[in-house]
Amino acid sequence: MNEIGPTQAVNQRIRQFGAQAFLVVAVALIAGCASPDAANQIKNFSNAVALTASNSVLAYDLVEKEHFDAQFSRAVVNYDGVHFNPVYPTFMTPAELQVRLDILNGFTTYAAQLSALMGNPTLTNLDQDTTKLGQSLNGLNQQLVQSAFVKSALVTSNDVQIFTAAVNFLGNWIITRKAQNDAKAAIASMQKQVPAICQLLEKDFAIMHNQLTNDFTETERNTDLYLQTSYHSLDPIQRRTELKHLAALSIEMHKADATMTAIQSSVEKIEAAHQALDQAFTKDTSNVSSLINEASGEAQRVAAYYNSLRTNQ
Amino acid sequence: MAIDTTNLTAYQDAMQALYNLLNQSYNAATSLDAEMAINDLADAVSDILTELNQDGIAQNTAQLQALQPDVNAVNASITAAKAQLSTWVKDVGIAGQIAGVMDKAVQLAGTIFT
Repeated sequence: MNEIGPTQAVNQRIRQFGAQAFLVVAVALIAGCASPDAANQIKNFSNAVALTASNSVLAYDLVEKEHFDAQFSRAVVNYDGVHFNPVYPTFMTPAELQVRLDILNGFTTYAAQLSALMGNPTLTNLDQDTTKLGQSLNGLNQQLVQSAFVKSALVTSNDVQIFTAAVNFLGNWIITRKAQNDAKAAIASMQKQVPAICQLLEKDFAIMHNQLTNDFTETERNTDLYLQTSYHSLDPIQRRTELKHLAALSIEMHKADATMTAIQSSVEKIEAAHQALDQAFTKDTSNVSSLINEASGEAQRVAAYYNSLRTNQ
Repeated sequence: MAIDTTNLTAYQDAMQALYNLLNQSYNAATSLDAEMAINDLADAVSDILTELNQDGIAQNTAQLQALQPDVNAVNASITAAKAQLSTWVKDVGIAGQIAGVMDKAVQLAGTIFT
């Protein structure tokens, strides 16, 4: 029997450690870190999705605000000194808005879960109400989508069918998320669903954009008419205030128009980035990295617009 | 009352074109009275566009039927306004364009609400 000397023992431990280290690296690579920055790419994708979703929610608010302003501006012009009804219908009903919010939350949760699977810390609490959200999306039916979410002039019933199936799939994925342990497989399973969801969201934003533009022009026209008909009864300070309001409206309209275009583009870029997301696991991540950066940049531009609105208020 | 949605998109496009032209002509109107008249018509057209933009309306025959009285009212306003166009708008070219789109919108509405 050969005795092992101190030097040999050290060498053996080094070899064992080397073998273990090799095993750890190999397992890590197999587990989804084939590209050293895959985790980083997916974290960036998740952040871009979260920002796009929060921008979308603010866009819905903006559409509602301008719809209110348009109705109010008309009421001011038509005010006869007796009848004033300060209640104006919203553009979307609360149920219609909730369907959109659930879908955006579902998409954000999916992206956050992907990032978590890659070992990134998440800013989203994935357990809080997530199962309820998944159930809500899974239970969404075609009839509800048709009545609450889309308009058939731009969207065919086939689009609605594909979209509903995609949202149901997303809901089911969220419910079973704890059983998901492979980000790459999760991305592959969503390759059909994400485009279906994004494309319908883009069409929905096109309708919102049109409504926003119409409401802005209505407010601008009515404000101008109010100023003309009341000009002689306003004092110089009031005239100046009204003129400033009119000038600001025109600037706001151009900014809001550019922002709605950017939101549509942002959703389109998220879709493109997701379709290329499996490239995060390859050696060359330049394409996916560029797509994620574009989506992120667009989302940040939109967020900057909303921040400027808050600053101006 | 029958509803045929075949021309619904074309109708919405015509109403949108009319709305845009009315906005354009408001800024080039001949007088304050002309501006007020154009503004009233533009508001009525805007109401129809909002209803058409609101979700799912084309899928819902009952909602479209509910829209018919508003469409009938705006058609009457459009027809009355067409006769006044030359006094409201100086630019003969724009007035001609508006008249053409007005005819188209009224004609398309007639094919939807049959």
